[in-house]
Order: sequence, then C-alpha cells, then structure tokens
Amino acid sequence: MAQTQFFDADIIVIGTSIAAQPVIEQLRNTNLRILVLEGGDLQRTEFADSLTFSDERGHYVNHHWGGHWSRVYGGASRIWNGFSAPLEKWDLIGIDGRPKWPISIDELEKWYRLAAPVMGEDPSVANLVKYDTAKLFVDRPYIIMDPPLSYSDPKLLTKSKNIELRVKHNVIKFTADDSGSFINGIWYSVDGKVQFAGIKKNTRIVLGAGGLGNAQILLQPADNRQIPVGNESGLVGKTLMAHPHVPTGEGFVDPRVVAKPTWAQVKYRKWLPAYIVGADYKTKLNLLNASISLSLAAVREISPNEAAVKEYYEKKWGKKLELHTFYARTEQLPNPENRIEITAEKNAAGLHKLVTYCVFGARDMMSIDTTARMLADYFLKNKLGVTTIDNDSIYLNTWGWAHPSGITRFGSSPKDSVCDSNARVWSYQNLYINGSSLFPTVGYANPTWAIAALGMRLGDHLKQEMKKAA
Amino acid sequence: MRNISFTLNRRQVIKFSAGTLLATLVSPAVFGQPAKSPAASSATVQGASKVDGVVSYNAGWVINLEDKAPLLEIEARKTKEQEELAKQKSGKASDAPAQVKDKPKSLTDKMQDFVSKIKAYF
Repeated sequence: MAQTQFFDADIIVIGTSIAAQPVIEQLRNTNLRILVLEGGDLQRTEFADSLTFSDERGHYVNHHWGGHWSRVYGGASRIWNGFSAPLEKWDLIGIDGRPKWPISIDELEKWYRLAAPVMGEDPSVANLVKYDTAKLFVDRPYIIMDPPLSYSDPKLLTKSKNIELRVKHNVIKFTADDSGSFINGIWYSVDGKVQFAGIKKNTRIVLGAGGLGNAQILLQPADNRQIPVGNESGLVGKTLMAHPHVPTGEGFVDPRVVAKPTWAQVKYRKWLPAYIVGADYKTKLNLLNASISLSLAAVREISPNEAAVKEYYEKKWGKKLELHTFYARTEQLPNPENRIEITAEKNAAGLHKLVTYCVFGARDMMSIDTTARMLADYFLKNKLGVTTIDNDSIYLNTWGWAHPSGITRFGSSPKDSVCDSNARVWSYQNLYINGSSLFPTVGYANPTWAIAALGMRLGDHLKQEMKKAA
Repeated sequence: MRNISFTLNRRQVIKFSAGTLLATLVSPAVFGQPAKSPAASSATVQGASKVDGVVSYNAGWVINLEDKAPLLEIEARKTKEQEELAKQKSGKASDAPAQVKDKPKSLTDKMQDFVSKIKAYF
C-alpha cells in the first residue's frame, strides 16, 4: 500500500496575496516551519487564469468576480490599484440589524496601525476613533499607494529559512479526522494531477485563497460525508457582498475642498479626497455607509447649461470653481440570497466551479442617491460647490469592484458565523481563514488595509498559540 | 326631478374616445414636470432627504430655489452666444464641403465615457 505523504509543517498557509502575506510576516522570525501553498505559478498562466471564471448572475457580471481573483504568486496584489481606507466604528457595531463584528474598533485600530507600513503609510495615520464625530459630513480620504503593494518577488518570502514555498499547488478540499475536530488531510492538484497529503494534528492551516476562493474550497463535496469539510455551519457561501460603485454626477467645486486632507491627523502621502456622512446622521437617516470621492474632471468643452452654473456661482460666491466628478463607493447590505454555490462542472485544477448570485438592493442604491444629494446640499449651503445628481447613472448603471466579502464570516456565535473571533473555523481546532470573506459587514472602503490588519492579528495569534503549545 | 337620458351614437363615441386619448397624450407635455427635475417635490418631501430651499432644475443640478430664474437667463444668453458663434463658423465655411457633425453628448454619455476611463484605470 502506498504510504501517505504528509505536509510536515507547523503552519500551512494557502495563498500568497494580501490575505496570506501579513500572516506569514508575523511568523517569519520564529522557529516555526511554514509551508506556503500557492495555486498559481510565479507568473500568470492561461491554465491558472482559467480557474477564476464563474457563472455570474445578478448585477456583477462579465468576469466581475475574477477581476480581483488571480491565481499567481502574489494573487490579487499583482492586479489591484492601490486604493484603501480603514473601516470605521459604525461599520462594526451591528447598527440597524447588520451583523456585529466579533472584535471592537479599538482592537482593530491596533492592527491597522501595525499594518500601515504594509500599506506604505506611517502607523500614526490609523487614528480611527477621531472619525467618531457628530458632524454631518466627515472628510475621509482614501490612501493611494503609488506604486500599489504587489507581492511579486518570491525571494522576499523564501529568504527566511523557515519558509518553504510550493507553487502550482491548488488546494481542492480538506479531510477531517474521525472526531471531526481536526483537519487531517488536503486534496490538491499540480497541473491538474490530483494528489493527497496528510496533515498532523498539531499543524495549523491558514486559508488565504481569496474572497471567493476560501469559500470555494469549503464547499467542495466530501467523499465520505454529506456535509463538506468546513461548512458545518451551513453558512459558507452565504451573504456575498461587494462594493457598488457609480459616478453620481459632476460639479463645480472650490479647489480648496480637495487641496489636502482637512482631518488634522491625516498625513497620507497620496490620497483621493472623499466625504462620508457622520455616524449620528447615518443612524438617524437609516443610511448605509457610502463615500463620495472627488476627482478633477477631464478637460472638455462645457455646455451653455454648465457654463451658466459656473458663471453664476463664481460671481455669487466670489471664488473660482473647477469641474469635478463625484464617484460613490458604498456598502452593500448582507443578504443571504446573495451567495455562491458550486456547480457540477469542475475547473482544470479539479475544483467544482462556482455560480455567483449577487444583486444590489433598494437600500444599497437609495443610500448612494441620498448621500449624493446630501453632499450636494452640504456643498451648496457652505458655498463649497454646486453639483449634479445623475439619476440614470445611479439607478441604471451602478457597477462594482470585485471585493467579494462575507461568505465565511467571523462572529461571536457558531449559530450565525463560520469562524470565531480569532478567525478559526468553529468546527476545527486547526483551521483558520483570512481575507474579506471574514467580513460580516463591508463598509464602503476597498478592503485591503483591513485584510492586512486582520492578517497581522491572525499571525500574532498563531505565534502565541504555538508558543503555548510548545 | 326631470329624468335625463343621455345616449351616444357610434360617431359620437369615436369622437369622444379620440378626444380623451389626445388629452391624455398632450397634457403631460404641456403641464408636466421635466424628467430630470424631481426635486420640485423634494423640497416638500417629509423624512430623511428633505433639503429645504434647494431644488433640482434641468440637467440634475442641485441649486438654490431663488437662483433658478437668473440661471435660466444666463443659460439662455449663453445658448444664444453659442448659436451665433456656430452661425459665424458655418458662414465662413459655406464654400467648404458639408461635413457631418457629431451629435453633442448627453450627460449620461459623458458619465459612461468617464466610467470607461475609470474601468481602464482599475
């Protein structure tokens, strides 16, 4: 009988993108043996690119979900654009029936600070509690990393002697021991050839295979049991969320509004100006969290209608105004009908492919509209600018950016979450997850900084756990 | 009380129906609000998005109510200036071969162009 091979390591990390690398970074200078499994190769290949296609239903289509899902060393970090912002307290506290995060903003802020250098910023910029303000509008710019964070050089990983990297290792699914408490094996494929490796009980596994990839693995059917390994909660794949995006209009704005971040503590190196509604007003008005950013519009000929508005308000306010475009990025409410499921068809690596269902709700779109109108009113009343609201754009042309979230969410109870507050899958002592799939709510911001913060937190937790175990 | 009976012959029924249909088609165009100025009502809507004193006039601008009239005057002036400029240009080019003019882009078209640029940037 052939002997079962084992992945003999203290910690196995699956993935090499932003969800995985901060975890590894925390474990680098320890004597723990780290095995990193990456499904892609060092550069993109047609084979690996083919693995991220899904059958897409709803508002996010045209290979939308594959837009930030890349099977290559470095994953999505090789193709993202460098925008991010932290979540705020209001996103985490369970307002208006949304699920509550199992950690507080104070705890998350600590990890945002530690992850700030990962994002190219000084830790002092992650001063989140200052945003908890009663103002109607709060300026809350995005950071722009230029160039964006990109994990493209594997030598930076493997220069540490305790880290081994294996590329082209696509994890398909896990197996569990008889007690159902430990993961004891991994089915995986290399160039489509399916193989199995055993896992020892004291090996910890971190799944950082992407916002969709994490759930895809935990939904794969098990050979000898009805429930897939990892989906004992029945919640894997449910409450899929992303971030609706849409231009809301244009406007003539006082250039000083966008000259620099006005929040005193923020000293971002490069930023995109943006505004959000203050927490008290969001609660009173039953709004979702939406951010409106401003960019200088491309130089173009303006119509008599536009010229009239510019001339009139420049004269009335005694200041020069410049044409800007307003762009909304908004929270999407968690809805269990928005979900992923697996299909009968398998991809080239041997995993069942995905079908995604994700639809904007009325509140998602009304929040964009209301926030845009409130900002227009705010600018007008404070002589900061005069803007348009483009109804068709908001209601007919909303699209989004692929930040798949929520489908392996963490929480305080196994009844309504897949993972506990340490991102450990409730049913298993040795299986952890990192990535936007953990988020019970998504806020409006590009999730990279939050993913990096949670990754550093998880890495630190594992370090402490392994010390105790030793 | 005198009983009144009222009957219509077929020709009168057709005339009445046509008249009703015509009135239904004409009255919104004459009396209705422009498609992109919903906020004549928004100033009086109760609840979350009430924006006192602000109205959206044509092309979706959010402006002060008292500014609407002078804005429309300036726009009319600028439209006239643009037309006169176009006439002057077409007068100078009257000997040149006729050229097809591009249809001016609507705000929605401009937004779609901008979205395409943003998508390319991402």
